[in-house]
Amino acid sequence: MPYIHSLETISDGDRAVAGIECTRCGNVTLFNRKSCPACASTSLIDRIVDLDGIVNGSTVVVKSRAEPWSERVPYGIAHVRLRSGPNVVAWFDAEDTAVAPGDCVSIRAEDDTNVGGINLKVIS
Amino acid sequence: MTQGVCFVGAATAGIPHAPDHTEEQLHEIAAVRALAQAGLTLKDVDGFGTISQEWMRMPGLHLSEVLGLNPVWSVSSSVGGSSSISHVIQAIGALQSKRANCVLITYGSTQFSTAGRSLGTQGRGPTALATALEGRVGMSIASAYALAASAHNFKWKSTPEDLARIAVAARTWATKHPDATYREPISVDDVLGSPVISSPLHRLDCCVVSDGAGAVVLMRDEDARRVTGDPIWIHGAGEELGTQHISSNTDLTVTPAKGSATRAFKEAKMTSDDVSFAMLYDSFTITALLQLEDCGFCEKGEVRRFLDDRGIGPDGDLPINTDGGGLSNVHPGMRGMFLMVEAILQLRGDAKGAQLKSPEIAFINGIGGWLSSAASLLLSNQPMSRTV
Repeated sequence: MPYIHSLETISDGDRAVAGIECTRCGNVTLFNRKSCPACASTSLIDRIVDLDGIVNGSTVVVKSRAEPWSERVPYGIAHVRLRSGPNVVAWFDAEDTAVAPGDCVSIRAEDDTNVGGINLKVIS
Repeated sequence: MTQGVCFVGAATAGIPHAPDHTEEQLHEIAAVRALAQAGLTLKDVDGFGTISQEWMRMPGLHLSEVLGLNPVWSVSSSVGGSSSISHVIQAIGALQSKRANCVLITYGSTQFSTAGRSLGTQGRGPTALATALEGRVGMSIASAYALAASAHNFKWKSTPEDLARIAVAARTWATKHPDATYREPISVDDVLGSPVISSPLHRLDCCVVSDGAGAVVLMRDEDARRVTGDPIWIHGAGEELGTQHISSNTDLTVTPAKGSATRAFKEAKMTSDDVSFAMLYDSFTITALLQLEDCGFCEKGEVRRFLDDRGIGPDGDLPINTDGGGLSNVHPGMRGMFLMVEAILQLRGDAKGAQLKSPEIAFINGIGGWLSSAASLLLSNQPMSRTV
C-alpha cells in the first residue's frame, strides 16, 4: 500500500495510524503482517505511527477525473518517508501549502467523508 | 537459458483507433496476421498467452474460446504493461521443454474508443483499492509517475527540459510512421508549453491513449527455420517485480528494470554497447528516462549528457522507440506487446515507419503497473550469441 493496518480514534476527533513494530529488529510496517518483513520474527506489537517525515517526491495535480478530486484541483500529493520507516502518500491543498522534495512535513489523519473515510493530509 | 527460441511472426491491428471493432476482434486480426507471416494458422497454435484489461478473470480461457484454440500450454498472468513480454519469457521455457511447439501471444484493447483521451487522469475506481489510503488522495497513474519525476528532478538534478527532449525524439520517430496517433513535429517548447497534468509532467510528457492490438508467434529454432526465412532469435531475458503501490516504493528514482536488464544482458553475454536500438516503455517521459539509466545506457543523473552526446532520435547514435513510442504512436493500456513487434519488424527490415540500417541487436524493456514490474529481452536476427 500500504494498506493502512488500521486507523484508530485515540480521542474524540483525533485519528491515528496504527502499524506493526517488530520487537526484535524495530522494523515498522503498515501491512497487517504476521511476521516481520525485515527479519521474519513473529514477535510483533501494534504501534501508533508518528506521521512526520521527509518528502521524497511531490506533485500538484491540475487535471483529475477522479471524484471528488476533479473539484479540488489544483491539489497536491506528497510521497513521504515517515521517520518511523514506512512510506505513505498524503494530499495537500496546493493553494495554501507548498510541498517540495526534501521538505520535513507533518501529516494528519482526518475524516474525509467525500473520499470514503479517513485520509492523510499534509498540514505543514 | 533462452537459447533456441525464435519469433516467427509479429503483427499489429487497430492502431490507433478501432471504433468498429471489439477487443476480441483486434486480438484475432493481429493473431492471424502474425501467424500468416510464417505460413501458419490458428490451427497450428498449441501454446497461448494473453492478457486483457477488460476480462481480468480468466482472459486466457475467454480468448482461447473465441479464437477456437485448444492450447496445451497457456499463460495469462498480469504484471501490468510488461505482461506480454513476461508471457514471452515464460513461453521460452514451454518451448524448450517441448510442452508447446507453436506459441501465440496476444494483447489488445479498445480503451480509446470506450474510455477516451483522459483515461490516465482517472483515479482508482470503487474497487477494493478504495479501502487503501492511496486511493483516497486523488492519485492517478499520471500523478504517480509525476511523483517519480519530482523525486528524480530533486535527487539527480534532471529537469523538465530533459524530459521534454525524450518526448520530442519520440515524436520525431512518429512523424515517419503511418499508424502513429500523432505525427506533427513538436519542440521542447511545445512540450513545456502544453498544459500541466500533474507537475512536473505536461500533457506531452504523457503517452497517447489509443486502441490497438498486437501478436507474436514463437517456435523452437529448428521449427522456426522451417517456416520462415527470417526468424528473430531471443538471446537474453530477465524479469523483476517491485512494489505494486507507488507509496511502497522506497526509491522513486530506480525501477525494477535495473535487475531485469542486468539479467538479460548477462544471459546474452552482451552489454549495452552491443545494442543497435532499444525499445523502452514510455508511458511517460520519466518512464523512459529512468530506463535509460537503469538498463545501463547511462549512469544515474547523466541523461542530459547522454542525450547531448549520443541522442535517441533519428539523428542519434542510439535509436529509441523507433515507432514513435507510447508517447506518440500507440499505447492501448499495456505497451509491452508493441515494443516487441516494432523490434522484430526492425530486425527483419520490415519496419512500417523509419527502417534502421542493418540493425542486429534489439534491447526491449517493459515496465508495468506504477513503476512496479520490468521485463527485458535481447533479440537478434543472428543466431549466435556474442561474447563480451
